[in-house]
Amino acid sequence: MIKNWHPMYTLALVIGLLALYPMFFGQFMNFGVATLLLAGFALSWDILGGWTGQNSLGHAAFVGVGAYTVTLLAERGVHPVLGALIGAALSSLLAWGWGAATFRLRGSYFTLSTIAVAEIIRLIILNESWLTGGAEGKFMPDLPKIFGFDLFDRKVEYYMVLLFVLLVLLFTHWMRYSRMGFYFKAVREDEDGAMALGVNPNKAKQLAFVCSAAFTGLGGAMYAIFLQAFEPETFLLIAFSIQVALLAIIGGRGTIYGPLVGAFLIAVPSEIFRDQLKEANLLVYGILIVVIVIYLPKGILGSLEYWAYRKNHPLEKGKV
Amino acid sequence: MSLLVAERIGVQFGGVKAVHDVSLSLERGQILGLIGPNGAGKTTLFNALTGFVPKASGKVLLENMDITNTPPFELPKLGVARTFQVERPFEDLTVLENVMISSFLKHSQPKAAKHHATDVLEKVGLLDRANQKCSELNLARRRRLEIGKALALEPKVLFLDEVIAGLNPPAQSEMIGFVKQLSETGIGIVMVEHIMRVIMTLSDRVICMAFGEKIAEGTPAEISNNPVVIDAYLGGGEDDD
Repeated sequence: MIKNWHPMYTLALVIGLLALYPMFFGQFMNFGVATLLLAGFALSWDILGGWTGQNSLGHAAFVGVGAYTVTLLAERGVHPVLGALIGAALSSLLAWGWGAATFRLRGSYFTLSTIAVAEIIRLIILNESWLTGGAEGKFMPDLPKIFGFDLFDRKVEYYMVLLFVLLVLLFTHWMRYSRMGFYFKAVREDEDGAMALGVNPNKAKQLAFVCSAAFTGLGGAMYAIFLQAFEPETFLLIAFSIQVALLAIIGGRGTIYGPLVGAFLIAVPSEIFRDQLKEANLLVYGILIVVIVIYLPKGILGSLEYWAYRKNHPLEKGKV
Repeated sequence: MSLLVAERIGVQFGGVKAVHDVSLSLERGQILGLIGPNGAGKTTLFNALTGFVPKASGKVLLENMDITNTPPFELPKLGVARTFQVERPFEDLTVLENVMISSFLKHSQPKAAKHHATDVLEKVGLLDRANQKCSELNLARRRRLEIGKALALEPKVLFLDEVIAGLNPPAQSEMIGFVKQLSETGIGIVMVEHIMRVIMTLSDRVICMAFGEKIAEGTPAEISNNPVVIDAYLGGGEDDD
C-alpha cells in the first residue's frame, strides 16, 4: 500500500478520469450523461440507505420534484440555476415532512411507506394537470446560456452532472469523518444501542433523508434539462426508485464510491448488449444482480474493502 | 442530595406488573447490587430507569432533577450511562469507532473524539484491538468494549447489566477489580448480577427482587442471612406456609 495516501487523492483521481470521458467517447455522450446522472442518484440514495440503513424505494419522487420545479419555474422565466436550487430545497422540505411522518416505522415498514408516499406524489403530479401538464408531461423551454455555455449541449451537461457527482462525493467524504457520519452508522447498526450512547435515531435519519433528498432533487433538475421533454412515467414509477437503490446496493452501500461503481458496472454491459440481445438485455441485468447479491452481499466495493481488511487482520485460528 | 433516587417505580406490560413499587437511592462512589431469581424484573427495572421502557408510575431524580420522562438518548448528556445484558456493539464498525461514537457526546471534533476514545480503550485494555471489527471479539473483550462505550460518555451514574456472569474465573476477577476502581473514581454504579460471590464482594448495599417487587434491602451480610431472600432463591416449600 502507498503510505500517506489521502482520501482526497482518490476523489481527484476518480473525478479526473470521469472528466476525460467526453474526449474519448464523444459519440456516446447521451450514454455518458445518463449513466453519470444515475450514479449521482445512487450516491444521493446511499446517504440515507447506505449510512443510516433506511432503504427508500421512493427516491423517484425527489427526482420528480426537482425536474418539475426547474421546468415550471423556467416557463415563468426563472433562471435554471436558481430553479434547480429551489427544486433541491423543495425536495428536502418534502423529505423533512415525509421523515417526520414515517421514521417511527422501522426496517421494512419504513421501506413500504416510502413506496406509498412516492405513489401519492406521482398521482398528484399526474392529476393536477393545470400545473404539471398531467399525463402529457412537460417541455423544457429555451434556457439562457450560462457564461456562454449552452445548457442543451451534451458536453456542457456532462460536466454539469460531473459537478453534481463531485458535490455529493465531497459531502460523503466530509460526512465519513464527522460526528454526523458516525451517528448515522450507529443508527444503521443498532438503534437501541445508539440511543444508549446519546444518539437520537429519528433526528439522525431525518437529517440523512433531508440531505439525500436535496441532492436527488438537484440531480432531478439536471435530468429535466437533459431530457428536454418528459412525462410523469419517465421517472416517477417505482421501477426507477428500485433501479437507483439497486445500483447503490450492488456497488456497495456506505462505501462512498460503491454506488458510482454500481452505476457504471450495470450500465456499461446493458448498453453494450442492448443491440445484440434486444429484450434479453434485461436478462443479463437480472442475472448480474442475482450473482452479485448471492456471492457479494456487501456489494462490489464493500466486498473489496472486506478482503482488504481480512488481509490486514487474519482470523486467529483456535481462538473465539 | 443523593446522586440518583427512584421512587416507587412501576412498569406494566398489558395486565402484567413486571415491576411494582420499587424504590432505590444511590450515592456517589457507591455500588448498589441488584439480585433476584430469573424473571424478577431486574432488567426491566434497568430499562425503566434508563428510559427504554415507559414507566407506569413513579419518579426518577438525578441530583434532584426530574428525569422520569427524559428520552433514553438524552440521558447520557445528563450523566447516565448503561450497558446491555446482551452486548450490543456496532458489529460492522471497528473497536475504536464504537467507542468514538460515545466520545462524540462531549468531543464534537473527530480528532478530539479519536484521542478520547483511544484513552478509554487503554483504560479497558482494548487498545491492541482498536482497528479490529467488533464481530470478531470474544466475550470478555465484548464486555470490556461495552463498558468502554459507557465510560466514554463520562457518566455520573453507570448501570451495569450482568457484565461478569459468563466470564471465566480470571476474567471475572479482573472485571471485579475494574468495577471497584470505577466506583472509587466517584461514579455511582447500579449492577445486576447473578453470581452471589460477586455481588457480595462488590456491593455497598444490595436490593433483592422477586416477582417484580423489592423483597429485601441491606448490606451484603444482611441480605445473605435474610430468610426471605433465601426463600426466594431456593423456593419456599408449600408445607412451610
